[in-house]
Parts: sequence; structure tokens; C-alpha cells
Amino acid sequence: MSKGIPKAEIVKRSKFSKIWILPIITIIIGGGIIIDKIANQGMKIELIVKSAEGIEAAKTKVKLKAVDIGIVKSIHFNNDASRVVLRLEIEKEMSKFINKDTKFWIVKPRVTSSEVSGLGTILSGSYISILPGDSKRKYFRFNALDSPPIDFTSQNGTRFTLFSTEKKALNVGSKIYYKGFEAGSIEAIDYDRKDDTVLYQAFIKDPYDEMLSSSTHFWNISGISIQPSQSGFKLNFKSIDSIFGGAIEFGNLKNRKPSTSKPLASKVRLYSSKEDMLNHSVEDYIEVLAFFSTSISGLKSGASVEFKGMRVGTVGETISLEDMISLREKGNVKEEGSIAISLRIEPSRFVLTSEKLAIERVEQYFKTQIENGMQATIKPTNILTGTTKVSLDYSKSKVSKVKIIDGKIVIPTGGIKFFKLANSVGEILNNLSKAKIKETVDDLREVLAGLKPNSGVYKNMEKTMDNIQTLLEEVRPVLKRMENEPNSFIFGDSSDPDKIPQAKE
Amino acid sequence: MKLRIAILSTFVFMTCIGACSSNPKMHYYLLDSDFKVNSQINMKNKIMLEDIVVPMYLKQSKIVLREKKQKIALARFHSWGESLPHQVKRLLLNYLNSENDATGFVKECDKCKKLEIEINHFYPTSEGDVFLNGYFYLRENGKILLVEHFYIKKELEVGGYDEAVKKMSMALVDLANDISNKLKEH
Repeated sequence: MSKGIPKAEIVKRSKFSKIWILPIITIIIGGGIIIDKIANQGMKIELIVKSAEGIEAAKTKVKLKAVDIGIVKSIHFNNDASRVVLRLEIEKEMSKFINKDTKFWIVKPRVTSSEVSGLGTILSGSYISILPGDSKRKYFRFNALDSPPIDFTSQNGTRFTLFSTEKKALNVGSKIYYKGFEAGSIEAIDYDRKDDTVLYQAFIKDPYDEMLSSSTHFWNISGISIQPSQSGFKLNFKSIDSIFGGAIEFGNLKNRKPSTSKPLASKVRLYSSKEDMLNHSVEDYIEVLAFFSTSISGLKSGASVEFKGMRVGTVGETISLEDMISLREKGNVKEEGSIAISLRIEPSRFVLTSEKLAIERVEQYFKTQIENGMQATIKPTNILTGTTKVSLDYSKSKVSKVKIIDGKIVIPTGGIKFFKLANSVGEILNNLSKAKIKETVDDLREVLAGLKPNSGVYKNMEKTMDNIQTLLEEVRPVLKRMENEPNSFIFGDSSDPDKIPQAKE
Repeated sequence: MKLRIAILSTFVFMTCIGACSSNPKMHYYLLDSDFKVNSQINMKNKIMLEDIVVPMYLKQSKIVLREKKQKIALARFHSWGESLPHQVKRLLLNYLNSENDATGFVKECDKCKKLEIEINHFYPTSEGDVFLNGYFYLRENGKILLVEHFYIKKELEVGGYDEAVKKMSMALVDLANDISNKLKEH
């Protein structure tokens, strides 16, 4: 009997049930995903802005050189609701660009007199741009700039400061030209209270900065200047930019090459015009005194001093009353009520080979001519504006010995030559009649007529604006659909079909 | 790998087919397809027809349907073949010249009277009407010689956009006749 019953085989039961394999695998995969997400999580930072206009949470991107590196996660107010706090997440690989010196700003459409930028954001929406800094220190809370910063890293060149005693005439971004080429721009503007000057931080890019030296001068070329000439009126302006946004030009004085031995100073004067620069930048000159007993009305500092029609110098700065009295006493000037005027005879205005030699030769020549009867007279420059100049002419009376006061040559003076005035007026009227003013005015009238509301040009412009407006109305529903139902462009529109007009009941 | 690519491609293809097939057809309409041939336009006595002024909601290509008193709908699949103000002007010029021998209506004119038309409402309604209303002015040297209000109503007999456009065209023809009569009386 015992042979018929099979013996049970005892198999040792495994402590680990196979049913647990699947949950364990799930836990491992889930854990791996969580670890991966945590490990690859981006850097979280906060950006304080004045206004979140154009910024949307989970949509607005953070970009570096137009490459997406992060996104705005959320938008909140600060404690007193005076500022908006944007919470940004920067991709892990890109977090190396975020440090204490990194700058942030919002890119949106900007239209100013010197800059039009960010127009692409009208369609794409604003975004946040960054300029990485050099600091090694990590930082997590930043204040956004109001406008894009100047990128010091992108270009080689030279930076220095221009100072001006005139009122602020330029803007950040105003161009700097050299011989018609755009050589640089103004990067920042400040005011020096101590010296009462406007300071412009200028940047000249490579290779134009090789033209900079101690003999380089800068002058303002903003706006439009109108100069009368023999053929009519001459309109001068550098470019449309320079009219509205301001511009500067630089160069070296005539016959002078950039001085390779002396570099440009860190702070350089900005002259109000090229003429002002020419008047004041001459370094070597002979100072001459003239005592005028006639009216000096219309004679200003910077006016020209001419010899036989050629400019040889400039009227100097006004002499104070005390200095004038002192000079009269020293020079034993007897004419009552005579006014002392300082003149500068500038050898650089002549074409000479050696500067040093020129001054001594001109001084000697000058003294000789005074002894031969040369005198200074005041002549009108412009009858319309009343400005005058100093002209060096010869009279019949000669001088035995040239007077010197405080090391300055004294030149005798003559009266204002009125008898030539009538000829000058006639010449001016003749030039005006040649200027074809009537034809110019007629042409201008025709142009203005073309811009009147009933004119063809105006109507065409109106039609064009109308067409643009109609086109925008057409595009608006498409943009709305793109915003609300972007999938409808692929999967079709899920909204109802058109309602049909019914027959009258 | 190949199987996966095949499945994915099939899915994308089916989706595209489905998307393509689900969109209804677009219909385009013209107001002045029934035009009259004018033998000659009187160039001795000219009146310039200015560009037609329409409100913003009519300055787009979709046909407007009034559903309720203050509610309008823009048809998505029924559009004008050309901008509405241009079509209206062309139709009116055609019919005004055909109705008037004594006066020639032109698009441009240096020194002549000007006819300005301002349309306020021009659409079919879901209740079966077509409305056209607004004002027209006759000016000379900036001075207004004539101001008239117009209100034209048509009824739809069959319904649908085809008939609606036809009735809108007929309303404009009535307007042209109205203007001609008023100008003759003036």
C-alpha cells in the first residue's frame, strides 16, 4: 500500500515573491525620474522690475544673444506693492552666466530720437535679456535696468570723456563721425557740478581710435546750419540722425597729422561748432592789443581778424574793466573812453613748415608792418545780423616805435569804414537777387500744395493707411484664434458653422 | 524601430487627412456682377463721387449678419471678393451714370461738385431683411448744397447668402436711383 502514494517533494519557499518585481521596477523608474528632474532643475532667481507690462508667467522668455536660456515662472508684488517681482528659472547649463554683475532688462519696442529698437517684440511679445557679468559670485536677486546697458565687451576701441560748457545738446547713442565715417557714439551723459560742465562718455571704435591724439579736436555737428554764399543759401547737415539725435565730428587741425607721441587726454573739450573749434583750438599765437575809440558794437570774442581779406587771427576773450584800466595806464593811452580789445594773430592759419619758426617770423613781420602804418579797424561782417570783424589795413601815418604792454604788441586803430558800407549792401542785395528766392519760394509752395488734405499725395497716404487698417482688421481674428485655439490650425476649427440669413416669415 | 516609425507616420497622416476634410468651403461674393454698360458719360457737367465712408465693422472682407438687435456675426466662410467700399463705389458709379444723361459721375475731378456717401448700416439679418442706411452730401467748394438721409429695406424670399448679396446689390441700385432723383430736383 505504501508504494502507491507518491512522496511529497519539499521545496524551500523563496522569501522574495515575484509579484514584487513590478512595483520595485516602478519605484526605481519613478525614483530615477525624480532624481533626474531635481538634478537638472534650473537656477531660480528673482528679478525686480517697475512694471510687468508685456510679461506673462510661463510664457515670457529669458534670452542671451537671442537664445532662450530661461523662462518667467511667476509674477508677484513685493511687500509694499511698489515693485513687481518676477521669479525666473534659468536652465541649469546656462546658470553659469548668472552672477552678481549680470544685468537684466526687458526688451520691448523703443522709439527715441537716436534709437529705434525692439520692434520685433510687437508680434513676438516682450522678453527679458541679460548681459553676463564677470563676477565669480553667485547671486539670486536682481534689479532690472530701465534701458539696455552698454556692452563693453563686444568691441575694441577707446573710451574717454568729452566736456562742454554749453547746455546738453546730445543724447546717449548720438553718433561720432570721422571724415564721414561713423566712428563711435556717446555712451553716457553726466553733469559736473563743480565745473558746471556737461560730461559725455564717448567711445571710438577700432580702427578709428588710431586717429586720436593730443592734437585731435571734437566739435558738435548737430542740427542744420544755413550759410549765405555767392550762389545762394547753403544748407548744411551731416545726416538725418544728426538733425534730431545730435552728432559729433572729430579731426586734427589743418596740416597736422595725429601726434603719435602724445595720446588723447582722458577729458577733452567738446566745441559747439567747427568754427568754435578753429577759433579756440589754436595753441600758438601772438597776442596783440588794440585800443578802439569808436564803437565796437557787434564785435564778439571769436570774430575773425583779417589781413587783405585773409583770416589771420581771432578776436580774443573780453578784457575786464580793471585790466583795461591797468593796460591804459601802462601804455599811456590818452584817448578818453577807448576800449582795449585782445587780438590773436595765429600763424597756424598760414601755410608754414615749422611752427616754432613761424611765430617769431610773424611777430617780427607784424612789428615791421605796424611801423609801416598797419592799423586795426572794425568792419561790418553781416549787415543783417550786425556782426563785425577786425581788419588789418594800412594808413598813411607811420609809427616810429611799436609799443609793447605786458609783452603784448599794441597795434594802432582806425575808425569804422562807412564809405564801403553802401558797396557791401549793394553786393549783398545783388547776391540775394541771384539766389533765386522767388523760384525757391514758388517750388516750396508747389511742394506744400502737394501735401494739402485734398492733394493726390495726401489722398494716397490716406488710402494706404486705410488699407493697412483693413488688413489689421483681417489679421485680428486669426491672431485671436492663434492665441485661444492654436490646435485648430492643425485639427480644424471646432466652433459652429456660419449662421445663414433666413427667408422673411 | 521601423514599426514605430510606420505607426507614427500613419497617425500623423490620418490626423492631417482628418484636419483637411473638416474645413468647409470658402465662398466669395461680388455686389456689382450685374453691371450696366454706359454709352457715354457727360463730361460737361461732372460730379465727383468721393470714396464711400463705411463704419469699422464693415471694413473687412467677411460678410456681416445681424443676429439680434445689437448682436452681429462675421461669417467665416462667406466673404467679399473685394473691399466693400470699393465695390459699392463702383456699383454706384455704374448705375448713377446709366440713370443720368445730364450729369457725369466720375472718380476724380479738380473743380467740380462732390458727392459724399456715408453708410452706417449695410447687412442682412437673420430674420430675413437687408438694411442699407446712411447719408449723402452734395458739396461745392466746401459748401454743403444738399444733405439727404437714406433708408432702404429689402426682404429675403428664399434665404441664404446668395440671395442676401443679391438683395444688397438691389438696395444699392435703389440708392443710386434715389440719389439721381434728389439731384434732379435740386
